[in-house]
This record gives sequence, C-alpha cells and structure tokens, in this order.
Amino acid sequence: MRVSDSNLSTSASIPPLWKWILSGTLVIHFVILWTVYSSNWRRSSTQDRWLNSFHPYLFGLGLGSEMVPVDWGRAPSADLPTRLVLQYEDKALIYLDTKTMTWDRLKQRQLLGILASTIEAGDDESVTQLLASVVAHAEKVQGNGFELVRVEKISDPEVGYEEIYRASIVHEENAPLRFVPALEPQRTIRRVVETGGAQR
Amino acid sequence: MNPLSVPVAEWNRFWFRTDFKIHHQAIRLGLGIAALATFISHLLFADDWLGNEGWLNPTAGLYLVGQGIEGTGAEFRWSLFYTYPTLLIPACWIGIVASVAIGLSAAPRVAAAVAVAILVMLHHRAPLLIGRGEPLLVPFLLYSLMLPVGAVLFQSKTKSSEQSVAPTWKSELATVGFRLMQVHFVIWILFSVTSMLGNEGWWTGEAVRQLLVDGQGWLPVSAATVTLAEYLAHAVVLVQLAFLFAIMLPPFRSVGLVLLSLFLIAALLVIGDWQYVIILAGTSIPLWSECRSSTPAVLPV
Repeated sequence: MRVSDSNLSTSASIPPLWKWILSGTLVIHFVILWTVYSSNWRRSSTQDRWLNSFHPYLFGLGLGSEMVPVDWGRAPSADLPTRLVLQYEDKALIYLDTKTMTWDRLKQRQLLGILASTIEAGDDESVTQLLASVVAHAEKVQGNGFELVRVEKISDPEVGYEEIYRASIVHEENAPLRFVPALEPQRTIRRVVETGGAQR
Repeated sequence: MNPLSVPVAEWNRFWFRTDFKIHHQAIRLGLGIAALATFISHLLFADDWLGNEGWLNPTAGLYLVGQGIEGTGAEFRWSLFYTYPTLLIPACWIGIVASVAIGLSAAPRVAAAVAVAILVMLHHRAPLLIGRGEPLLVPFLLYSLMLPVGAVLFQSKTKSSEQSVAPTWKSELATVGFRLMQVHFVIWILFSVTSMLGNEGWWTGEAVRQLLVDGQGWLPVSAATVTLAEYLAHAVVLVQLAFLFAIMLPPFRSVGLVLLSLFLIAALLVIGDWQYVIILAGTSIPLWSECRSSTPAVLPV
C-alpha cells in the first residue's frame, strides 16, 4: 500500500513532547545567555548565583569570560593608557604599552588592563603572578635580568604618566622571581623624569 | 478556544517550521571564514603569549582563572594547553584545517566539533585575553551542528538526494539551529549597544576620542577631534539601534544589511579590529539567508 507523503512527513517530525522540552531548553538557553551579557560589568547576587550554577554549560559555550569583550573599549578605567616599564642598569624598556601598534596590541591592552585592575584592587598575589610571568618572558626575549619593574598609567592627560606600581625584582637561584614593592598599591606618585633608553 | 493556542502555534512556526530553505552552505562559509580568522589570530600569538615562557605562562594563567578558589568555576576550565603548552601551535593548525572544512561544508559537523573543542580550550587557557566576537563564534559553530549537510563541491548531487529522503524532524532541527543563530546575533548587537550606553564615554563621545587618540583604528590620530568623536560615537550607537529595528521588520531587512556594514566600517576606522569585523560579518549571514517558502515568513528573526 502506498503511504502518502504527508503521512510520512508527519510521522517523522519531532514529537510534541520533545518540542515542549526543546522549547523549554531554548528559553533557558537564552535566559542564561542574557544573564551573562547583562552582568558583563555589574552583576547582582542573583545573576552571580545563576552564573555559578551554570558554569559548566557556559564554559562549554565558550562564555566562561568574566568580561565578555563586546564594547569597543574596556571598562572606562581599564581604557586609560597604561604601560609596563622594566629597568636594568641605567636603561629602561617599555615592554608593554596600550599605545603600541604591534599586531598583538589588543592582547597587550587586555593584559595591561588586568594588571592595572589587580594593582588598583590591591590584589598583591595576582600582581606577583602576572609580573613573574611577564618579566620571565621579557628576560628570555631580551636575554638579560631586570632589576626594577614599574607600571604607569595616565589618569589625567594633563598630568601624564603616573606610577601606580614599582617593585624591585629579586632573582634567587631555583626559586620563582620575587617582587619587593616600593609603593603602596593605592598610592600614586607623579613621574618627574621621562623614561629614557630603549623602547619597544 | 485555548488562549495560548495562537502563541504556541506561532512559537512552533517560528522555531520548527519546515517550509523554507536554509542556505546552510552560505552560513557555513561565513562561519568557516570567521573561524579561520580566529585561528590565524591565535596562531600568531599562541606560543609567545600562552607558551611555557609566554607573557601569561600556565602557572599565572591557572592562578588568574581562580584555580582552587570556590565559586570561580575553575574546576570546569579544562584545557590541554595548561599541561601541554607545546600543543598550542599544532592545535591552531588543526583548527585552521577544520575551519577550511567548515567553509567548504566538507564533513562540517565533525569539523565544527573539532573547532569548538580547540577554541574552548584556548578560551579556558586565557579567558581574559580572548578577542572581541570570539564568544559569539563558539555557540554559532555549535548551532551549525543542527544544519543540514552537503558539500559545496557536490552541491547539486547532495541537494537533490537530501531533499528527497530527509525526514521532517531534520528540517525542524535545522530550523532550530538557524533561528538560534539569528536570535543570538540580534542579542549580541543588543548587548553591544547596551554596553556602550552603559559607558558614559559613549554619550559624550570621549570613549571614541580616546580610541582615536590611541590610534588603534584606520583613522589617523590627527582625526581624534572632539567633534568627529562625538559624531562617530552617536552614529555607532544609532546605527546599532536602527539595525535592531530594521532586522525586526522584514521589509527593512536589506536596510539592516547596510546598517551592519556601516557598523563594521566604523569598527575598522575606530578600533581596526579586523578579527571582530570578520566574525560579525561571518555570523550575520543567517540574517540575510533568503526564505523561499510556500507561505510568507511571519517572524523576522
């Protein structure tokens, strides 16, 4: 017996129960998505709970970032020009700069944004971890040890770069790099002498 | 009559309709190009940034994602690149091959799954260093798993065979994937414009002026005047809002394409982020895919 095309088509469609389940999943998917997007810069405790509960799902979707990069800049404070300066002997090297024009400039801006945020938040351990990684990389590339690291930021264009962090770098054998901060995390001082020496 | 029957019918019609044709090859071509641009970008920086002695080495990376701290979800951030950073470059090359396969619709589901796995591991390795638009690409690649298959190179052959034997549930599932892309893209633009409006600098033009001063985009630094920055800032916000309206109204869909193009041009001028522009252009293709249906499409997205 010949079965009509319409009957075939109906029998092979998604069953109504599954459509309900699929529809519910779609709604939940977009609610979670909206929660991620809407909590990009500021989040309520409810949003926080939601995001924590759905971590595995979000990470699977590639949405495991605390700050989803969608705006053309970052947060207003993180957008301010920042640079990381390494010193050895009497030379200073601008090693990371938000004004750089190299192909990895977005990464440099992001890394400096994280660094400046952690310095301003007084999160010493994160600062140490980040700096240890950056300085080790710089020493490998430059082939020499550095003595001092400074992070400078322009908060007021009329004032220019101000130091937000300065630390001596301590090299010990068979031990990770140590940093001895010379400034309180929140304290800033105006730079008097322009940085000289090699620039990257 | 049940008052919910009409909305339920419309919902089902929107998400599960089978009477239109999805240009899955064009969609995959866009996604393939977007994925290719992303993997090339990762290939350029992967080793220098995320390698054993990179700017952000695995130890610092683990610390920053909050390893060992409750509530950060770090336990779910699995990435092979923490343990084996030497795999970064080979993985990027595999991603490039997968992207080409997606673009050509050659084994597109396997290729998309491979690309997603690698991208997600890259994201987990350095979540705060991912590029703009990358969080849009991964879900789109996952959605593409629901689209029908059929290689570009053998288009006519596969098309006819697929149409004759494909059960309805496959078409319905394909519609779900297609709609997910459309709705997600619209939400992304909504997210983009609201993020900008949440930043005072976009109201005063200062955000754009600062970006122009930084010289990141194609406009020269000398163009960083207050007046131009104000015009650009308001234009970028308005273009996105107008795009959202245009995309919701089918007769204005083509205007939406023009508006999105303007937005992308502005992005190149101000931030010069070619990767973001390629991802947005590639993932927007489902919005412009034609619907050849026996009955008119009722919902715009």
